[in-house]
Amino acid sequence: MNMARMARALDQTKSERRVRASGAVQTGALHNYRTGAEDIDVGSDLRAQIARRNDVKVIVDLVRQWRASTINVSDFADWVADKHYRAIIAVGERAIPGVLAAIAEEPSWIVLALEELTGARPYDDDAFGDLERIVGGWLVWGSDKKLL
Amino acid sequence: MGLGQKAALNPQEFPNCTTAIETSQATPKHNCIAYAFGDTTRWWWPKRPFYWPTAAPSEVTVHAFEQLLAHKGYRESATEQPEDGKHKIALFVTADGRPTHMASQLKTGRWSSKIGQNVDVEHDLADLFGPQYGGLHKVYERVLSAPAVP
Repeated sequence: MNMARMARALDQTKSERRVRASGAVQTGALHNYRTGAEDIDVGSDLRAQIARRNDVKVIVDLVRQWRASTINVSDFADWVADKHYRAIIAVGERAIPGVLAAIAEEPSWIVLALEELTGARPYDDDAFGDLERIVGGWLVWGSDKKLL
Repeated sequence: MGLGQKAALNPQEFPNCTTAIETSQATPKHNCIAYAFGDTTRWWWPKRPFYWPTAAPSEVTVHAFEQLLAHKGYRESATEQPEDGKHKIALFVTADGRPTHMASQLKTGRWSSKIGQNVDVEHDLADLFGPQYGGLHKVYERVLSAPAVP
């Protein structure tokens, strides 16, 4: 892993977060995570919704809803069983740029979806549990693949 | 809601929560297990890509969590009341015995918890009983003169 590139990617993420500091996603109480998220009806035809709207925005909104639904849970099994997470996985590879955009905006454990969608693990074993390093690895991966 | 104020936890998940106070901003960097052992830099769970000490089995069972506690120097406590010279950790499990949560005791006898990817709260044990975390399995203690295992 190129640490300098990872650091640049993280700096970029932090810079974007500062720019968006007055926007939708803030760290704070549960209700803050819900602010600004446009509800995606995962029970309807998700592919039709994506066709009508920007793919990235739909996925970013799904990630926000996933985070709000699972914010009080530690067990990844509940995270990956959540309907919003399953909807992201159901979209398939087209969801990858949106998930990358979501973690660039606000790091979260939705990185699990990237592993499930790609089979990749772009970080070292000693990063286990360290969200910033894991997100940094994915942002470098996404940049390399020109998906960011 | 905010720091020092009543925690805004979802009443459907925590219907018994009446005394919990918010004590931090929300963060996904660490979880309740890490927090109980004083680590605010990593998410601990017995599954990759999370951190989990190799001394404990990588499975979501009471046995694995008790192995982790034993590795860290904790043994079952006879009481959930605070005792001088001891630090206590409470393990929560669902009705079917699946570990969900750990809380760390404060000197006052109240408890401190990290709530998933959400905030830290100061609370009574019963505040967190309910459908999200289940109930109390056991309380464990470590004598503070004993060196902490890194």
